[in-house]
Amino acid sequence: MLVLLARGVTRIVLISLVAGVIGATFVRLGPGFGASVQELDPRLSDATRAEIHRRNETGSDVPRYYLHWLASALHGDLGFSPTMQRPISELLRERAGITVAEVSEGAAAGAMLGFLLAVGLLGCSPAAASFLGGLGSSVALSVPAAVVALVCVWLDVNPTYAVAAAVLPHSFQFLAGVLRTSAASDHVLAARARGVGRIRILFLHVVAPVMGEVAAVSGMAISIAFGASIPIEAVCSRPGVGQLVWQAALSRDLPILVSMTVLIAIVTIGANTLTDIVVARNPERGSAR
Amino acid sequence: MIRVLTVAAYATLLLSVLACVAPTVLTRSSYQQQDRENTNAAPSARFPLGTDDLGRDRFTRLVYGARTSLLLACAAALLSTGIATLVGGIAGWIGGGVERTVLWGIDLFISLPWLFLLLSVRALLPFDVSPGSSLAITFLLLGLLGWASPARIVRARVRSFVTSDFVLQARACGSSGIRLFVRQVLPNMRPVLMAQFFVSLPLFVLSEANLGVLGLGVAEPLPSLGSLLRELQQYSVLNSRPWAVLPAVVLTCVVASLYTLVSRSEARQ
Repeated sequence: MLVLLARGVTRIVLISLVAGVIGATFVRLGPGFGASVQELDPRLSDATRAEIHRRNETGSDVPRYYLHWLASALHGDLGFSPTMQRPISELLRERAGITVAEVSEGAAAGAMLGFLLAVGLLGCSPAAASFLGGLGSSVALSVPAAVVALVCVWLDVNPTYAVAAAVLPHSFQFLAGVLRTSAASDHVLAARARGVGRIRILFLHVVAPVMGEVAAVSGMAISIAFGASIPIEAVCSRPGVGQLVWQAALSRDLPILVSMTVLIAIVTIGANTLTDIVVARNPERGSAR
Repeated sequence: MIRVLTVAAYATLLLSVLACVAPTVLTRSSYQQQDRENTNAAPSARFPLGTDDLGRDRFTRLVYGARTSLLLACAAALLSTGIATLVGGIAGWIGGGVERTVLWGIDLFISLPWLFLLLSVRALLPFDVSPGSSLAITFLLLGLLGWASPARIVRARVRSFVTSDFVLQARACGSSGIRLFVRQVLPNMRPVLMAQFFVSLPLFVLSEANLGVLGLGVAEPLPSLGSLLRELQQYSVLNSRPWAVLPAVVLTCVVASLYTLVSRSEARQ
């Protein structure tokens, strides 16, 4: 357990560091680096445009910039956003609450609903389960997160529902497969042969043995919910971290993009490592998965 | 019931293929032709889905938009499957340190949310590009960033072939190295590669749609399913022109059909 945890932490640190370097390098090498919307102003002279371009090119020495960023980040300073003219840690503090609430509530609701639907399908005949499950998840997976966000705006409902809608088909698909495998196992057949009641079989013999995997869905759900939060916050004008990423991407804000790449890598790898640890504690089911 | 669903999926995709191959069979108009006398017109015999705020035929733009999105997704899926074959194949075939390094790189790509990666990289490229360039940029982005998940599957498959009987026999016959990989392993990888190609298609159509809604997809006047959805951000459109929602319906039907056929194919295997 401790070895797994140590490996997980090492993985998180290493991948996050490399993600930051790659993020910074990509930003620097991008043909649009240093460009600004201001430069499109027809009133500006060529000299003024060149000056704006030169100013926007701060951070062009990637290794130096990144090492400096790392040293500051260890002291809680994530740098200064040139486009928003504010410290990044302050921006994150302001916005993190909204996104954390949205992502955690949306992921929990989506995963829970997916679980309930997957349990509900166990009561149907195999043909009906295959049809309903296949149709439902295909349609739900086919709607882009941005369109779900638009629907939320039209209906004037909380964007958390859009995050839940993005998580639901993935968690349902995963859990329906896991529960179907569990329901077809020998011990369930034996319990049925002994005349154990349906409800008892469902909770004690089908669901209970796969609780590790049910919990592991949280890792997957957080990663999906975080990805979905970007278009959802952008479309719904929610001042969260997803919207910050969107604005930073549009304005090519190098410090924000690097900080967000590292932070998002930490969150998603952390969630996935948690999933791996939970599944590893239940090796038989893990291998079945 | 499942058969009905499969037939409906095939029919939807057949129409989409028709839109890709011969859009002129479905519509005679041009997707960029503007009729200033008929802006925001309601559906009529001349304009089956009405016109947009520039007087362009919505139906024509939908047909050409579907063509753009599907061709783009096919090309990107081909590119990403090719890269996955190369990267995953090399990792699985060579093994050892190379395999560990590649797996590590795959972990890195997979750890970042797909849309975040797409947005960040797309934002680094110039925004004021021609429609053709924006199409190429979107295609390259999807193709170059979408290889990680398929590469992991390809690696696992190649790894299982390394110790298989037919590879052992080929080695015994004197075949080795790249020749052995290309002549013996690669042909046996075809089902896996085909599956990865078809699994990537709906994902790329959806990604293009998300990029399009956020204004980072294919540039105007070239239509795509994603860029057609941008109009829906003007929330009054739904009340005054509900038919404008049709691109979203078409997108959902096409992607759901792709998912249905992929899951049917997986179930059959």
